[in-house]
Amino acid sequence: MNGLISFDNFSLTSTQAVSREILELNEISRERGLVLSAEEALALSETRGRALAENERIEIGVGAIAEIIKRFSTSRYVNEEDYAWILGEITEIFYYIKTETNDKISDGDLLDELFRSFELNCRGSMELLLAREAERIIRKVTSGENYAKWYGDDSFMGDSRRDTPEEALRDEYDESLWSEDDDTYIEDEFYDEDEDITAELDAFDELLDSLASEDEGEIHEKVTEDGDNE
Amino acid sequence: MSEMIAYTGSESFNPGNVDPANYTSTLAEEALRCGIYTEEDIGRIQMGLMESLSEVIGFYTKGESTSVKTERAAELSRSILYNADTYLRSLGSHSASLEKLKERKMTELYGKGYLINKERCEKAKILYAKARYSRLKDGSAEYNKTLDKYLYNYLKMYDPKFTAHDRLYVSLPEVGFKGGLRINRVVELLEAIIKLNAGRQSDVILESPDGNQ
Repeated sequence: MNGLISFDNFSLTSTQAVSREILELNEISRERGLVLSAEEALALSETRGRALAENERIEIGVGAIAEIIKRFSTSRYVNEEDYAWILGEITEIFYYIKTETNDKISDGDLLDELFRSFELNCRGSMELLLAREAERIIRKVTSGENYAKWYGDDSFMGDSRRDTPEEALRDEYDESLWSEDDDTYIEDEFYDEDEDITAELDAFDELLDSLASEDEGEIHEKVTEDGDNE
Repeated sequence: MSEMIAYTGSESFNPGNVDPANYTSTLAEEALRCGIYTEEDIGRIQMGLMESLSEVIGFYTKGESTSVKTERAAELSRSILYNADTYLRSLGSHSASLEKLKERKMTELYGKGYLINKERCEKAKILYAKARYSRLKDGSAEYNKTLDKYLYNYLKMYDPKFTAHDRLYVSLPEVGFKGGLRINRVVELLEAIIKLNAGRQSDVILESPDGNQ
């Protein structure tokens, strides 16, 4: 449906209009000593426009960049010298992730993830954020409930390593059942008292017995051999 | 307004230039051509479409995102315009449409059109249930596919807010429908199918909702 009144003839919010709105946000960030100049605000507005175009997105009004400014102006790793640059980088990666995840993550959740990664996992390193954390966020969102299984749950440690078997076992069962003193499992509380596993144990015993009767000779020999080694 | 349509200086309004399938846009274009609208009027209408799109994006993303992919935005725009078309065409005359388009906000136009298409969708679903209930015993393969698959998928996916402009593609010569049909024509299609089914009582499979024959 093309024509005079159509999407193709849209003139989106102008760079200057967005730039003016960005400058208004200086009222909030000024408290922390962070202020964007008029040139920086215009450059940021242009970065936003470019990021939207590169990621085939459209946004009417100032949009997400206002939230980016409000959030990242509170970072302890941002100072006056790199404030504008950091905002630009975050803006670019924000729209990139939105498109790569097919909009499966909301603006608010993505900002939370980016901010947490920047503060806790990367400790202010933009290189780490862009090189490692961005892809981790994309994997996390696109994997959904399979993320922990496929990639290991790194939500606490902030790295992408897989769980060790002990950690996987610990996650599988309630952590409260692990003794803090000697890191052993509290056996008495292992089994659910209401759960009757008698049949399972009987079946297991029968299997062992059947194996033992079949290979009685071999087992006897092995036991004897092991006993000799002790 | 009707006097302005009759004569507008050197150019007169030509209804033949207004495409019913693209009503709002071609109506505005013709009005600009013959001087009924000015460039400012067109700019205001264009701005209204953008504001409406911003609102609909908010609905579409449930307020969770301020941006969408460009192709999605284009689809939402088409839905907005189709709803506006629906309302303006319901007014019955080009002059009334031109007046409303000039004086009213786009959000109001598409909101009223949305209500009309929503009602059509609800009517279509009721008619669909009736059509399936009274289907022909010896219907053609295309007839059965239309009833079992195409209409089902179309009505399931149709949303008068976001996909008001969606078409159903059919080829049913027995009821005289072929091509891409919008929701208003889908209602007509279903009415025609029910009429066809009712016309041959001996061939109708009468299955009651509880499965008894």
